Amino acid sequence: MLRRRSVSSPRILLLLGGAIGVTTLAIFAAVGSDIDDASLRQHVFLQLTLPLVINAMLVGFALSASAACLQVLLNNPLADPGIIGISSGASLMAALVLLTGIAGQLAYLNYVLPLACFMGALFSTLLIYRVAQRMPASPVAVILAGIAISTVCGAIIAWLYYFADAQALRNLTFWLMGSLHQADAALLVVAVPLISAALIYILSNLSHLNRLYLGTDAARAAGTNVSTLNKRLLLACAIAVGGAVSLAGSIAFVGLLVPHLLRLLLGYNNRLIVPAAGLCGSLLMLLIALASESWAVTTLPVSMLTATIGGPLFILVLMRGQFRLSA
Amino acid sequence: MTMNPSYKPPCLALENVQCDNRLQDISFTVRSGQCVHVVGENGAGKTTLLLAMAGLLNNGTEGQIKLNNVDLRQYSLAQLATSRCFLSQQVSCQFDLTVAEILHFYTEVARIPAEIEDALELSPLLAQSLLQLSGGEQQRVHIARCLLQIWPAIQRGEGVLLLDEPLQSLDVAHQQCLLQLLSRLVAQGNVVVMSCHDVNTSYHHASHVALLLNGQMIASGQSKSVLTPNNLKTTLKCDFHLIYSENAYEFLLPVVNKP
Repeated sequence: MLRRRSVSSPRILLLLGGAIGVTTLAIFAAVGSDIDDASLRQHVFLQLTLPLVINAMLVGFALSASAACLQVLLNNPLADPGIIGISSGASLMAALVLLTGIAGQLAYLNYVLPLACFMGALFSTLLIYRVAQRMPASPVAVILAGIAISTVCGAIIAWLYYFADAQALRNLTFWLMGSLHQADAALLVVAVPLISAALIYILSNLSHLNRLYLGTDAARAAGTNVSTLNKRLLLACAIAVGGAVSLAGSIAFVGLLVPHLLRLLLGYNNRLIVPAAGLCGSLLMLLIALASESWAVTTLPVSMLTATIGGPLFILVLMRGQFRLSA
Repeated sequence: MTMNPSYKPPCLALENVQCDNRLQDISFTVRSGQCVHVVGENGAGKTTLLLAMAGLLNNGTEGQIKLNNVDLRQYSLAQLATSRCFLSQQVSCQFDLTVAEILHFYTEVARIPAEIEDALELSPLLAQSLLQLSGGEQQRVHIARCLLQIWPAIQRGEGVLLLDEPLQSLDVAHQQCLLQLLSRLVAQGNVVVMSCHDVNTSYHHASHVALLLNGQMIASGQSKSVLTPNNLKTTLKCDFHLIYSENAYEFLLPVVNKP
């Protein structure tokens, strides 16, 4: 009686998995299909197509699943990593590495960049959490704290822009707009294990996450050690988001839109919503990669595409009154 | 009450419990089959006392609280959650969950037991969004959530129900249904400790009453011996008359003192 569900969880996850498989095959078919030389085709596949697909899947999954988790964790349906400032922390650290000239002096940029993004995401998450804790208890507190942190990060990035040379500026601008092509095999080797570990931790705590819907007191009364769970899940989300930013730059709206639309369709059980959001995020990123590879003359910035599709769609959802917040 | 030989009658004992300035030197024991009402004015420390008894106040608590002769701090939150429940006065939800989803996430039961359904009438609410329900309907959902959380322990007569103003927002009929349900659960050996602002409800439905004033317990014991006009005047700063009706029914009538 209480476990009613119109669509069964395995069925929806299988459906999404199937769609991801088909899109992946379509990308494999689209990239390098016109190359006659077999060895060159193999080289393109290993150096370009495979990293692109892995990057798209991982970034989409990490952003959407982390956002779905953060929204419940922070008791705020607007807790998108981009909106609450986690991505800005990661972007700031990336900007520091790319613009200050450190990058040119580092032999191991591929390792330093993701680590810098992780640190930035982690630091901004902790800062937002601390600031929000000192404010009167309200879901708006996290948003306000996030806006404040984002503003500070944005200001520092603007100062870095002011003093940077033209080439570095161009690199950072393109990087911040998001691209699925900027991650190579070496960067993936570092980022994939870290993001995967963070996502596995998030996915293994989903039943506890279900108990946070009614706030901290209700969760503790129901037997969940909220302070430990909060810290560990925030750390896991920061690692996943930091990793995603290091792989593809700052990508807007995916984290906010995907979990929200899924909740409208499938309900609020995080054991279904978080993995489904992850898979939907992967599918969305793969579709963007496919569109970019199939139709665009040049590589299109991902954030530009996600914001172009996601923004109007979200306004539509808002105007139809399907986004409810309690007073 | 169950006749299972492994039955452990629940017992909650407080010894010199202090919490910052909110509770001062509270000592009393609640035994199996007792329904204790905590009575006091706003800010007297009723919620803090219930939170302390639930093991949900970690910081600033001194003294000892024992559940079944074991210090509450020895239990993990997960262990406590199997035998005691706590109903909070204020529960807010920022998401548009249905009642069925809430009961599913916070409890292990697959179906609502007939006893709870009869008292709280949840079936018509299951498919509705919690945010769209009235205050009283939301309160019924949260009471059911708490009871279902420890329903196996309640069935064994080993449950400890800590309820902060469970009657608030409920209509009269549901108040009576809930009080009858709690009486049946207490008769099975469970423990109920609840805060209540209606002294007549406490007078007739509580087996024991604890009077709180500024964090101090000024009287505790059997309800009719504690709820005297004198004690109530001290605790609630209001005059009460004990009225005997023609059919031998007693009730406490508050008297408004006009300046």
